[in-house]
Amino acid sequence: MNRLRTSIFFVFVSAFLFPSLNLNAQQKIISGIVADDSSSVPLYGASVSLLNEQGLAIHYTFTNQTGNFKLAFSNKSVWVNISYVGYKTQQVKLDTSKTFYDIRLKAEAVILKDVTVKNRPAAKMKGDTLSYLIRDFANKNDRSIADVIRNLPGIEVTDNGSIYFNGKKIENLYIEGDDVMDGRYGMATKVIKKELIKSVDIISHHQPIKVLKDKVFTDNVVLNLVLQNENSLKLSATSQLGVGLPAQIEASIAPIVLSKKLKIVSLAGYNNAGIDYKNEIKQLGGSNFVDDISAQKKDITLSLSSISAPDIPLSYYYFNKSAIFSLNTLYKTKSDVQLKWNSNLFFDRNHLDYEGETLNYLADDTITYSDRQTIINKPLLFSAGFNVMINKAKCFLTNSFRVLLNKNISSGLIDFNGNSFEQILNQKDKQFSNDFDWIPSIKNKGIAELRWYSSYGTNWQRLNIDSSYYFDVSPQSGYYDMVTQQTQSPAWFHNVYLSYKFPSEKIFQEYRFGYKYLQEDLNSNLSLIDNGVIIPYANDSGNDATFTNSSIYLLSHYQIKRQKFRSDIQLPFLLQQIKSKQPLYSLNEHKSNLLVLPNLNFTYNFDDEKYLQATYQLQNIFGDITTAYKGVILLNYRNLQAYTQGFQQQKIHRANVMYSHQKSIKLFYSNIGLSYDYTMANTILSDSLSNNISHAVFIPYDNSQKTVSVYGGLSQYLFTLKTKVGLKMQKQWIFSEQFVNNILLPFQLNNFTLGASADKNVAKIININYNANLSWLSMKLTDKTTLQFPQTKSFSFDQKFKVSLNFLKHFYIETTGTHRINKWQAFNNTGYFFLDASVKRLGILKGLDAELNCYNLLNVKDYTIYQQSKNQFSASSYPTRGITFFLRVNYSF
Amino acid sequence: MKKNIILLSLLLLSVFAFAQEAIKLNVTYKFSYVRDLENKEAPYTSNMVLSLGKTSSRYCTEKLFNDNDKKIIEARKKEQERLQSMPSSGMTAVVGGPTLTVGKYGVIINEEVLKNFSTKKLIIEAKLGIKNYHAETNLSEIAWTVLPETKKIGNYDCQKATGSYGGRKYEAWFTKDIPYQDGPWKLHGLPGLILEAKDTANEISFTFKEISKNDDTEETTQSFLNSPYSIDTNTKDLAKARKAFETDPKGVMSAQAPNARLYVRNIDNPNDKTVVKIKKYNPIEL
Repeated sequence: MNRLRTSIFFVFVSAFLFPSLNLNAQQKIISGIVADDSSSVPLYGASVSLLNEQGLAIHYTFTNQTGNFKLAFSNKSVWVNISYVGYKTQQVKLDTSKTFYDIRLKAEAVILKDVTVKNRPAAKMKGDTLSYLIRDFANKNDRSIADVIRNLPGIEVTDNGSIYFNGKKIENLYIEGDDVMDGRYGMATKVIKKELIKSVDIISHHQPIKVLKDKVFTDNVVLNLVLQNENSLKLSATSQLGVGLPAQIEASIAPIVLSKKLKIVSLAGYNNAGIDYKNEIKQLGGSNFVDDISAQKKDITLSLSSISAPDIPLSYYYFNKSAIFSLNTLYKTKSDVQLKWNSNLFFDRNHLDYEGETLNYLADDTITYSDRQTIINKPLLFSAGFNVMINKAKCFLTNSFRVLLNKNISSGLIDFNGNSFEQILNQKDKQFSNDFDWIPSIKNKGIAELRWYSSYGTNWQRLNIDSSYYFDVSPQSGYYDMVTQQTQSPAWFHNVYLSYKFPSEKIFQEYRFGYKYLQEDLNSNLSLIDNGVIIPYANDSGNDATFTNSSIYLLSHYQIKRQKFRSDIQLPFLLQQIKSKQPLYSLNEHKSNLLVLPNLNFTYNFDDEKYLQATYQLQNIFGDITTAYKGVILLNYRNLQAYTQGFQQQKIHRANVMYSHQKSIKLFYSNIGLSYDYTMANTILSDSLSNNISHAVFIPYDNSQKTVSVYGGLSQYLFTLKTKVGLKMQKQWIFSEQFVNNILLPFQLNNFTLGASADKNVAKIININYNANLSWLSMKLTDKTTLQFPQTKSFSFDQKFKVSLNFLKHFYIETTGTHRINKWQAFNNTGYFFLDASVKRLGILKGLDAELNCYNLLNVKDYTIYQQSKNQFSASSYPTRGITFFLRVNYSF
Repeated sequence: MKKNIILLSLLLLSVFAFAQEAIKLNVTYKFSYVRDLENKEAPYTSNMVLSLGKTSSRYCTEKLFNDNDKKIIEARKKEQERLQSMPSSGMTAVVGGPTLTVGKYGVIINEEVLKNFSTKKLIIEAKLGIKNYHAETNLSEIAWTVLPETKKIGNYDCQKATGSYGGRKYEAWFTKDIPYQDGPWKLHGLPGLILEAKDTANEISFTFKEISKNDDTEETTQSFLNSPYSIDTNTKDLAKARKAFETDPKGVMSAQAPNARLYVRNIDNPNDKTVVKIKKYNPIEL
């Protein structure tokens, strides 16, 4: 009824508004309404066409939201055709006298009778796992699984062997779900050949502990190598043989057995070609599915020199003869108990030559130390671990026992301030630890855990300096047959806790109640030997110190998530007691504290492309044995160090605010941040320098250090040049204080770095990658003193490029260059330019490849580094391996 | 309280039902496109699927259509819900990674055209490199002129029409037998489904391959490419980014993922890792 009224109204209005149109125009207009036959609901979007005699459309329109249409027509129009999806098409004869059509369409269940139904078959579920099938992703030329991984989309392998997936470091690498390598996965990827592996799986949100599955969410990503044949006990191996000029050799063999029950990955190798085998056994991932709660043992380290290692890749200056034996096995019993053994043995004999000059600016003087030395190191390293693990849906239990033995003998002839003498350093290090973790399955929602970690370690060192050394400490200054410094420091550490977690979607809570105990001893004596008589050091009686730190802690951890807001709050409460006993100095101190050390992290996402992150952390460090000894220790021939009584305390506030903004449609990415660190310490370093020795003592003096940094980065793709450019910058101000020869010096260090990068594909076979870094550094004293301390400025410019060329399918050529210029006020300008090139010829025969490498093509023979620390400047230079050629053959079976 | 929940869920359900219409028909077209004017002999080709719901449609590549079925969509939806509800630190990694998918004619175009005839909206979802983009615009009317020419395509009697869209003049063939005012890509607005279309410069063509019915009500016209991580943009910026990506895909992707290593996957020849270079880019919309 209602509809009829509107129709009448419509006719009336149109007749009233367009009378001339109706009368004069050649074209006439029809109008109407299309509705469902049964419900009378108007149909929106139905097509109304006027057809000619042949049934072809000559005019058409679609109905509007109210189902109405209006259509002009010409003389040829014969039929009105009305159609709509799901309805039977209607065709009526055009009646020129009729201006309003009321069309009712009948619903039609079946559309297009002649078309067949074809629903799609269901595909497999993928869930959290992303599988890369080796047969789809491996190149013909790839040999090891590392070669394949390097080319997988989204996966990146860094120089040290760590694997990243979409910019996130993987937690671990498993073989058929097992952590065979105990987190030292670098070696495994290089020695396992691709034929053994079916697929490389990336598992996101990986929860390896079955008890915690679907209860505790993780953000961890792991990489799993799925075996081609999990029942094969066949032995396979990869081997390498390389010879080079001048006089270099490399040989290695890696026997491997991989099956579901038994897995063995081993390696034996020797080289004198600058290859560092320690990289192969570096800890890259987690171990035994649990996080590390051990305490890093700190030792006072004696050394033959006071210089630091150069900042160029080790292979350029590593003159070595190294051997490695590594054995990793994992066995699973029928009842699913896992037994694992990991052991590594590493020998090396290497030498390092250097020449250095250090300027010490004092109030009335500048003291120069000049050194020249050749050091021969003979390290031996052995590590072994035995692990038993039960990982079932009902309970998780793991126990690991580890041994670490470390021995090193270094010796060298040194020329110090024109005086030549011989030195020998002996070091022995032993460590034993046991780690136990138990997570039972509980019926209700919470998760309980019991963890117990204990360790014992001892470190023994002896430094002997021969008769030509001038011992410049009064009142015993002079020459002796031998100067001997010996230290021994055993340590015990226990950490036991009980934790309970409440997993929830909105607020995750964890409470951990535990006890930590650390005891460290230090025995040391410095003695002077003359004519077979041991003369004790006169100024103090050495050390027989004990330091203990025991604490009860309660940690509460919350993660709160709202739509745009995320926070992670950690609030540990510690009731701590520290004791320092030094009977030789009649010292027996102790201190109790209640500490709250919050660690807060807040993130706010404005939208998908903008977020703001703020973090705050408070640390309160009370030192350890390395900061609680009163007797002086000769660290090396020109550095003595000791602490006065009292506990060294450092309170550190760290705050950081960062804003990230990207406009990815314009390919623009940026971030900017501000960080502020404020450290309050109750002791300060006081250096007294004489012509041949520097004597450092930490004395009680409240002082602070501030670091303010502003940083930012931009990256933009230039549409016109088809090049990606990036820019990074950081400006840093550091304010600190130090006593030098009893004068308090306030230092200010300003640092500005600017980095630029560009990446361009020139043609399809050439790729150029360029990086440049500029750095300005200046240091000055903030107060005027009598000290003749020049304000120093330095500038360095680094460039790196890589050009790679791929042609004829089997040949691959790569050239890399590293160039640096240093400008320094106090020294001459220096620089270097390293250029490497390699040519690979792949797939000569089945399993056989060859490659030729040329290192240091420009034959750079030495490298100089400048360093600045407060009132000290140093320049050190090192010889580097000159031009070398290396031909390597790889064979696997 | 319980009543409220039921009401709310009903309301939500109705919203969903509107946004996700069940597919009635799937129409496959062969798309041919001279993307490089210096290489007219070897145009870019791809099979495309137009999925028609009652008042909405989705147009995407046959590969995307075959790779996505309701189970995967469900799993993905669950995953997204879990990601949003679970506590996590830092940014979330997007599953996938910088794979550059190419074919013998260069980089693969991975774009969806979603038309909604009841809201008169046209949505473009595009994946360029590792990022997904979302652009919305109005479904503008195409002024077609229907002509008296006819031909048979498949089993359908088709009639010719000409009209201009995106700076090109198209000749289209539509059939009254299939009463959808839809067509391949962005073409639409004839009193029947467009089964074939080509531009007068002979650079772009859509030809009919097959048609099939779908009676699985869980298959809807919703987007495959859209995700909570899709970035909102407009069609103009999208066209610019698309041109940059198609002419220099490696450069654009390394700008998007600065530290990641690119992997080139050639669907026509897995051993070929090169990307065919476009010398003179010819945009679809001028």
